[in-house]
Amino acid sequence: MIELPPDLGYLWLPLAACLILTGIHCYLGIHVIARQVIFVDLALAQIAALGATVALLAGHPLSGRAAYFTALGFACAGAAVLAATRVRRERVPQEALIGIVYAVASAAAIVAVSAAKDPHGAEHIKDLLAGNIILVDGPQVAKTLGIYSLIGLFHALAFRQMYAISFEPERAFCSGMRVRLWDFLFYVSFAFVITSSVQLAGVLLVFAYLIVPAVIASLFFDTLRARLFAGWLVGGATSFVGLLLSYNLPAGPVLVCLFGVLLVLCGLYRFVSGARRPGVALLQVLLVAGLCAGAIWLLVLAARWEHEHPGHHHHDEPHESEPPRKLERRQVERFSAEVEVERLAAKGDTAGLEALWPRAQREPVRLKIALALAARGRTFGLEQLVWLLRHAKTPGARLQALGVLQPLAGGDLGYDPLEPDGAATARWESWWQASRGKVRWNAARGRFQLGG
Amino acid sequence: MILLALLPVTAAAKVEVVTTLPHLAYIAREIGGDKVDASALATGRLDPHYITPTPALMTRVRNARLFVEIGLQLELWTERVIDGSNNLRIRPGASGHLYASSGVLPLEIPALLSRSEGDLHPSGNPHIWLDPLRARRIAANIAAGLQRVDPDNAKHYAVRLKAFEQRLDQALFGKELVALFGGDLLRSMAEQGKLTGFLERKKLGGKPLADRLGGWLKKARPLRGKPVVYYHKSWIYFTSRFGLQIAGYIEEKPGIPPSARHRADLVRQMQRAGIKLVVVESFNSEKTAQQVVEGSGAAVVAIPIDVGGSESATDYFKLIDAILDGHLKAFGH
Repeated sequence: MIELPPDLGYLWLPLAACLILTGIHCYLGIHVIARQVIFVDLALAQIAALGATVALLAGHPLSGRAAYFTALGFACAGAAVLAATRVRRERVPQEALIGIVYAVASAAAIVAVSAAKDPHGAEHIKDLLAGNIILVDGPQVAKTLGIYSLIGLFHALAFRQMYAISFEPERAFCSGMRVRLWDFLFYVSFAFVITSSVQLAGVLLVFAYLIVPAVIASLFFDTLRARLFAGWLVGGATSFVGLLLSYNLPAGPVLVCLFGVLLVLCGLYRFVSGARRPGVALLQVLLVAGLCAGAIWLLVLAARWEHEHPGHHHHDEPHESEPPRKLERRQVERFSAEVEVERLAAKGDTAGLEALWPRAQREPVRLKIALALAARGRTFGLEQLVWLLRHAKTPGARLQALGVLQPLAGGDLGYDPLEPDGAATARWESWWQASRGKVRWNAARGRFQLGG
Repeated sequence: MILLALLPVTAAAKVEVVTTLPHLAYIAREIGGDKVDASALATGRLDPHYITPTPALMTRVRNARLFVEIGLQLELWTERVIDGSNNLRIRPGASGHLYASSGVLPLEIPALLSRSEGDLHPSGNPHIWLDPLRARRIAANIAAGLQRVDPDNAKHYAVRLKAFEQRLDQALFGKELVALFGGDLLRSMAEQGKLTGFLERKKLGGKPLADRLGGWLKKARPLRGKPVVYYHKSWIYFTSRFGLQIAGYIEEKPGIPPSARHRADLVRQMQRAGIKLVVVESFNSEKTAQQVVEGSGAAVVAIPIDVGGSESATDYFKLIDAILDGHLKAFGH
């Protein structure tokens, strides 16, 4: 199922893109976790994807400028809504609203694509979800690097304010800071990042880059700086391994799965090492892991049992293809001769064709020579065709010979190519004796005529 | 120096041919013989419209000397794969690139070009290989392509092409008629629509020529005029060659799953016309077809549409056999 690459050339540009994404996403993710509003990035990513879908239905390519700005517009509108709904004392938790926004945005995209009857709609929805990071090109990477550098610069300059509203909101309120404004700026910069990332990496991977490295880092470290560097390390390493495994699999989902596996392992490690009795904890983990492995093994066994008994056969591997058919010598000789005739005819080498006639023994070859010569103004060809009327063994040859001679004689002279009788054949032979001196080649029309 | 003289002359490397669809690889292998290494990017079970371009595919294409695709906007994903492979020899327009459909007369050229009409094939329906006579043309194109990239072996490819054409002719018309009239004559009559009349009018040895018909045309005789509902719009070349009638499609527009209204219309139409057979390809939703069929009493049959699409369809000839068998079985033959 997983195919390993023979060389890593395909890897470097996507890896560069992944590292750029890791850089900014990890930082924003730490903020998002501190705010405890996790789903906002998934919702914003899906809103951006909805914007791109709308642009697509209006006829713009998914990775073009119109799609980008539409997606950005949608994302900014979403950001504004999210910022506005944050501060007031809520009857409904904001997470509920965000979850609803995500579901509605996803559904709206599917409805839009179905209503527009786009035959490739399902593919596009999947592309937006899974992304296409493995196919990223140089200009895209450069553009992303530029945008994210600017955003990074903005966050570096506004570091104090951003830290305050995410990590110490109460103090920020009390100190009279315009929290809502800074919130809005945070979400807008967030929207910019999400929009660019979604076009590159797809909704799922964008979410994964935002949350997972930051979460893993926060399992082990406490300070912002430590979490940031640890998250970068985790994101970078996972990106590399994931891309290695994506030689023949879709890269985005592979990376997301890899992040998931890593998170589970880290979580288990923390569980065991943080337990009061690590030995017991380790045993518990191994027991559960063993049960899961056992369940999976049983499922595989059941699937194989079903496979052996006629059910639904799945042959995904191509059959060993049979070797090409060997030709008999007789066939090779006949077809080589035919090929030679065609070659000479294409060159217009009528002398060569005439020279072939005595040596040609097979009827199809003789017929071909006769037809070629007759079509190129050689009366010898006509003579051969008359000869075939008597001596050909197959009705097909006689039929084709008659087809050329008939217009000249003005009729078939009562000759039935399927079952010719001697009298009709003799009529044709006397016709030829009488007419052979009178046929003229009309080069302009490309055919013989009875002249004079 | 002496060592160089002792080096044996190495055999010329095989020509690497990469095709999109499996039947193209099969034909390339038959035409190329032992001078060619042909493989297909898609398998017979996959929908040829949607293949995900991965680095693995691009690597396979990188070393290709000849790249063969059907064209007619069937394989829209090849552009990405060819670009990603950095193989300049096989870009469209270069000598190593081949559209297998060139020179083939297409059917179902749409009068109205709009996305709402469904899957867009503005130059005509691309499923040309389902007509054996058009497959003959594909083989000739592949031979020409091989001669272009490997001119030293031009004669070898020409001879093998003739052998393949004869095999196709014998499989389509039967060995007897081919021996009597030659494949070229039969083909040109069939393409002009004159063959059926000719066979019915003319007699040989007391009985009409039609009695001597063999091969697929004879096998398909019970299917003449029979109406069939198909899932996707892939079958026009098959039905026009073998005389079947397309009574409707399950997909409302190609590539778009049927709405409830379309399903109801289709069921009513099937009941009225007494249609007994619905054909789906291996990657179509058999469940959707079953739901449509429930009200009408017809049978749903899954049929391969390319080599490798079913266990029995291991080469082009067996593919056509399998398609005919699938149709015949449903009508009780």
